[in-house]
Amino acid sequence: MLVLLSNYGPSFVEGFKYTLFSSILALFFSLIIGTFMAIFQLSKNKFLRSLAKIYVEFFRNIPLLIIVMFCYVVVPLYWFQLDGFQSGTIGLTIYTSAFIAETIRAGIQTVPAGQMEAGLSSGFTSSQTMVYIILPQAFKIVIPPLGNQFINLVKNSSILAMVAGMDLMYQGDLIASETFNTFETYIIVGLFYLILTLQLSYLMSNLEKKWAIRE
Amino acid sequence: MIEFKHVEKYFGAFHALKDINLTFNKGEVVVVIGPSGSGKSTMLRCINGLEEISSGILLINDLDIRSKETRLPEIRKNIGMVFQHFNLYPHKTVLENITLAPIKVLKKDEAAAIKEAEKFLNKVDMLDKKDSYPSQLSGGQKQRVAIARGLAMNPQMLLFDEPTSALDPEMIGDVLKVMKKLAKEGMSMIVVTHEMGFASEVADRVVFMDSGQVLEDSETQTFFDHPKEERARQFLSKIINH
Repeated sequence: MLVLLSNYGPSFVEGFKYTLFSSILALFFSLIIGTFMAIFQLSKNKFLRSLAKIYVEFFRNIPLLIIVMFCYVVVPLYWFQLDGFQSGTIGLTIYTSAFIAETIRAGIQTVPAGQMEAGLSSGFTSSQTMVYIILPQAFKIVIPPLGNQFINLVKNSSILAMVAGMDLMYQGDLIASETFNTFETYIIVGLFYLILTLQLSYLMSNLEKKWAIRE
Repeated sequence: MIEFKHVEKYFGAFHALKDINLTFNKGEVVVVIGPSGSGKSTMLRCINGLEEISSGILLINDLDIRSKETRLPEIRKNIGMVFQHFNLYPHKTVLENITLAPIKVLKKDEAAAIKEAEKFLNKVDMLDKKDSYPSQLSGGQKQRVAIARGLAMNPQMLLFDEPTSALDPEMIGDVLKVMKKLAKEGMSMIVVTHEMGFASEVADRVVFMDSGQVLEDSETQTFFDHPKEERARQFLSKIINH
């Protein structure tokens, strides 16, 4: 295993970088899109509500691979060029944001109605109340399930391998087919994923503890 | 400053408010009493637009609350509300609970808002708890903080929706003391409550409601000594002799 690592170390690290970068981008944007979709789902505006409902139900219920292949194959055919990394990351963002929307919506709904009323009664608009009063409480509640979504996201980023996204899984496949040492290669790849996901779950449980103390 | 003219309110098929005609003036302390489900809270919540009226006219400082030009946040800035269940923001300290709206809504600078907040906390006797979180306070303490939060907007009027109903008996006195102090200082208040002692001591007027109607609207003395309505008499005898 050490031989494999010393021979192909740079390739593993290269793949790790792409996986990390793709995960961070997808995490950031799916958190933003997911939050908006959650708020839209609870909006009084019928158009926004339907839009969010359709978005969530559609992308949550089709395979991630279809979204990614669509970005990789169909989008360049009719609209603009996307490489493997880009289509993988965009697909991952679209897919994950649907799940994050559901998670955050559930969080918002556990905040008592009295909080919205208190905010409105102080002269806040409903969107200000959402930002200053409801969302901070909702996020605190959904940290554990949100952590699950983030971990799933990192693992799902291995989908990039299907579209030559240069990620960890892709590099692993290349190394395995070059060396025929599948056993050790995939163990090393797995360990690299663990470096990311274990830190992420550690970070999330720390955040949970930190916020729990403050209240 | 607040005028109900033939106001009706339905919740689906339920007729919650029936032909309400009421006036609340500046500087007045009005206590609204009546059995549970009589529409007292609904009436109060219509004033700051937490409930929408179904028909009739409701004027707040001559502004029609149903008119398209009326912006509810503008109305609410001038009318504070104190809730039965306090509704403090659990993720903010006592001080932050009070300064949030003055800073974000009234655009006060932070130092001035904190100074003001401390003044109001002192008034409700809660200054020593300014860095606590709501979960660390008793019900009575939470309610006093909620009152300070309402005051911090310098409202023209404060609405109280059963402010002592969720409190342990020994906490009620502290909250009522603060409310009496405010009343004596001339704050305009509308108080939905079952506290008859408070009503007879500080109210200028008592409004008695039952099953969605205003049955009596009299000066406090008159109401307690000679209630006009039989229903009000029954209610009073039940509540006072229990």
